[in-house]
Amino acid sequence: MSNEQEPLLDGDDIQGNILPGFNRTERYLVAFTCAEGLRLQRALARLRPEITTMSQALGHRDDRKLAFLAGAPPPQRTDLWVNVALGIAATEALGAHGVAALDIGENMPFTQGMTPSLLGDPYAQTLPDGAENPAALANWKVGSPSKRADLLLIFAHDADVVTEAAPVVAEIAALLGCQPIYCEAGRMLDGEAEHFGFRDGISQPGVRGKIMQNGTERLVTTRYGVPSRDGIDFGKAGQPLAWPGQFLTGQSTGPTDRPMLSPELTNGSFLVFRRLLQDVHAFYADTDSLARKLTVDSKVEIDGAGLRARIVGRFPSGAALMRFDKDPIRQEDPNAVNYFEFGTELPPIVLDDQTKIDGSAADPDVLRGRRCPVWAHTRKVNPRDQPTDRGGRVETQGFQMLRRGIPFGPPFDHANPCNLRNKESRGLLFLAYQRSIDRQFLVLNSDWMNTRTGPQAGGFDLLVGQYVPDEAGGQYAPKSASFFGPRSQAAEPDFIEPQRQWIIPTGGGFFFAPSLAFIDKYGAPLLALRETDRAPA
Amino acid sequence: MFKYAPPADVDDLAGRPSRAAFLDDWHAAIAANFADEIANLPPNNKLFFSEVATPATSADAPISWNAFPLSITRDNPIDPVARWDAADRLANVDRSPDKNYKIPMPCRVQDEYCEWFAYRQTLNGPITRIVFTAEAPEYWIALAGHDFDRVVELYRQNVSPSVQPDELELQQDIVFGDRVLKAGTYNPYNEWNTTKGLIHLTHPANTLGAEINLAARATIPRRDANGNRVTDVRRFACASNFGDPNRSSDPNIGIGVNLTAIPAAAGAQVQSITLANPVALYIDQLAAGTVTDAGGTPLSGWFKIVRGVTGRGLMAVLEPPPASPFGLDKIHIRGRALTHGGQVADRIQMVLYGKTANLGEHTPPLQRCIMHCCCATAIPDVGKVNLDHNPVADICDPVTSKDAFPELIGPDAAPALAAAKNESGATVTKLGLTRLAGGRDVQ
Ligand code: HEM
Repeated sequence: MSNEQEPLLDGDDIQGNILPGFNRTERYLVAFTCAEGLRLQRALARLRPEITTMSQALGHRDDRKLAFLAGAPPPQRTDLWVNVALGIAATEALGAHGVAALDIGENMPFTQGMTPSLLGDPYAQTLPDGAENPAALANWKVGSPSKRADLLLIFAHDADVVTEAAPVVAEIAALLGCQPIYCEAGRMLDGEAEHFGFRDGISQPGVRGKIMQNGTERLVTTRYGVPSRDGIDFGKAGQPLAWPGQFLTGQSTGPTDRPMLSPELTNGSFLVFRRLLQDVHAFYADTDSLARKLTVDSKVEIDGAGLRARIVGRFPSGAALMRFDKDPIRQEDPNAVNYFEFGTELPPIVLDDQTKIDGSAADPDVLRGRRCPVWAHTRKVNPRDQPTDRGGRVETQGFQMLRRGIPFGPPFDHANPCNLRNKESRGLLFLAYQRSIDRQFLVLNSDWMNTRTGPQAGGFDLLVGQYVPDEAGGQYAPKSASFFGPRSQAAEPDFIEPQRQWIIPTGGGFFFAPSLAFIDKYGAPLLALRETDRAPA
Repeated sequence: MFKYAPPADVDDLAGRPSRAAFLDDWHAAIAANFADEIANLPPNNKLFFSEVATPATSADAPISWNAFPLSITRDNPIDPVARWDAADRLANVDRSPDKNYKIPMPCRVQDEYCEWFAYRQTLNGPITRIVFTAEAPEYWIALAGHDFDRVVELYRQNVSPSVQPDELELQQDIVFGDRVLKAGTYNPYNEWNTTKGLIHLTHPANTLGAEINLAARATIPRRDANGNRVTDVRRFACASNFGDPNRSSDPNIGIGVNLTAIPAAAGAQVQSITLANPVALYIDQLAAGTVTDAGGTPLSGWFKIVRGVTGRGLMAVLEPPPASPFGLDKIHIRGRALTHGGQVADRIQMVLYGKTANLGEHTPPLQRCIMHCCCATAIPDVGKVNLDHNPVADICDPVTSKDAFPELIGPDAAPALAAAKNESGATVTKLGLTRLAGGRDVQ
């Protein structure tokens, strides 16, 4: 399809963490409980000039790309970036009732808020041993009924985000008349990995559309000359292009779609925030012992690292199992790392700049996934060319979100397991933007990761899936998966069933990340606020 | 000796004299169905087999899909209530043995091999019980042929104690597949299975015969006009002569079978494939956490498989467990008050099981597409709409419609059409189903 038909997006109206994402070293999440319209208006008015827009963040992305191409380290900036998101209590308090109506889907998750039923989380308030259950909503660090997150601020910086953000946080606290209920810093780990050691943030949908930059039009997502396949156009190889309406309110979902929405409701996006605690020790110990068991009981030659890669669907470097038999020494070209499907062989291609991209294999037993198990995390959430319980490639692409997560907590010290820091909390501040929480995040999370049979039968997402069967009294039950190694077509497949939950939710919320026009409208009555007026009486 | 068992091994005739003959006949009918489908495959493409001839050697390979009709979702992409309403409307299927007149029979439009019925105490009153079925009509027709009294008993147990034998009988001859059901025998479209209740599937495509036909025909690999193998799920369903490309089930089963039998991976071993015994389509399970109280806390014991077992469910019921202080009118489905069976179907997974064996077959040649799909010219995104599935000889109307996937048959397909028309199985059985109110007519 020609680029001509793609919509012109207003880069100054869209928050930068939605597009193209805050690609900075540090993040700082701060949440407040406040459902008073006037105070929220004042807070928005104060935040308005600080908000980092898509245009600003795109400039930084360009600098990163140039540095990458030159083999230089990523550029560091000194300015503080900030984005904002609102919970349902805040949008209602502001009188922005139209936001709830944008919450399309079956279950109105934005309005309902996070519930164990929607998310599949455990809900017993105590664990079988009587200790408090940190995964139960009531005990969450943020987003529990007593710690409702109405206003979420997302700061970004490269060196000292907490200190840099402190004055703004203090001013907002004063305007809202309350202290934050939650503050947490996140930081990119070496190699852009998450705490289990796997490179993250590799696969993102490409967004169609153009913006004006320095007086000229440019595409939001660079096209590298990847040939279209089955009617799908690509940015990078393996990066299908999606219409902006998949992520932004009031934007088109196809070439002839012309949505009509008032300016303040346009260019917003629904944000899912999950504070996911990762038990690195358990993940390594359990996978090592499961691998040993497979080797002994079933004569499957696999070690812990091999099993972990199958659980993720990629090797630690980010290389996909569908492209490599073992982790390559050199990190793959960004244009190659996503160039794979599961049931289809892809041919080698040459990009516009003459870069050659090797083709990739198809799975010899695609129904079960011999190369990459059907239950591997990345295959669960993006089965690509595969048929699913909910359709096929088109539907699957429509479920994808813009993931903007960042790890929190210190890296795990594998070399020195007794390091006291290993006892500290660590995990992922999972953040994802989309048009419909119900039809995007909740499909991937609840219909696919949390089930044995979605999108294809064969096992749970052992990495992230939550399994709390109705008869388990609100506690986790072990998740199983069929291990389809070389014996994939044997009469008795091997099952693996880790007994511990490696990732548990300990906070979060559903939010609306509004446009700048929204902030202007709802913060506007107070934009002319005098310094002395800032703290409400 | 290998014997095809009734779906989920249900033993409806336990202890009755009719049992042995029924089980023999059931086996014979399924075996014959397999034999017919295998005979209809091209001689160089016999990858579908029956365990009557050879045992399968693999474990069960499940293929799953969602119970809510995807075609109805495509027709109602935004408003869930419209979608759930549409799925609850009845349609008519013409079952006349004579083309000079019609015998419209009521049937449901729920076409993912799962149908449901919401029982209410009063018309439009609150729902008291919802029953879901995955049972094919063939089983009930066969059962009634052997033991009509037992069928009446099962209706009384599962549908209503007031069911009378004559209410389950046909008033006139009707066609069902390639056979005629005689007046006075079991009527699969009786009111207790359509307007007043439910015991088995009624949508004309929801049959066991369709399942076997689909699995067999899906073993034929297809190539597009450029000679490339078709591996995309919807394109493959459009290109082949099985099932309906608009559903979630058929295309999913089709490509699953196809890529398992003939993997796209270079050098991978070709596998012969069959449907696991007992052959049936099953309700797998309801996703955890679906049914909650009004406060959002998940409830257990409300959704039960009452015929079959979890993973091989034939009938499931959503109703209050004994001693529950409240009924379905007080429960929520993922935080939303229960108003439609479709809300629950959204969270039900269906499954069928394949099995494979290495029977030394060779990779069959790619066959050209035998069917193709059309849609309205104005549709920009064919992936998001329902398509018309036609034999290649029926080209898309050049004015109002276009080929959804033009590469399948290519622009110069016309001369090849006549040849394709003569290929075995190139005709589609038109279902003759008409939606009664709104929605798309299915032909
Ligand atoms: C602590 C929790 C999690 C960890 C450690 C984790 C880890 C990973 C890793 C290592 C990747 C591969 C890198 C990439 O393709 O970008 C990945 C991809 C992905 N994850 Fe997660 N993830 C977590 C939570 C989630 C959650 C809650 C979701 C929500 C549904 C999710 C959805 C995805 C998606 C959509 C992809 C991209 C798959 C693709 O397009 O190939 N992840 N994740």
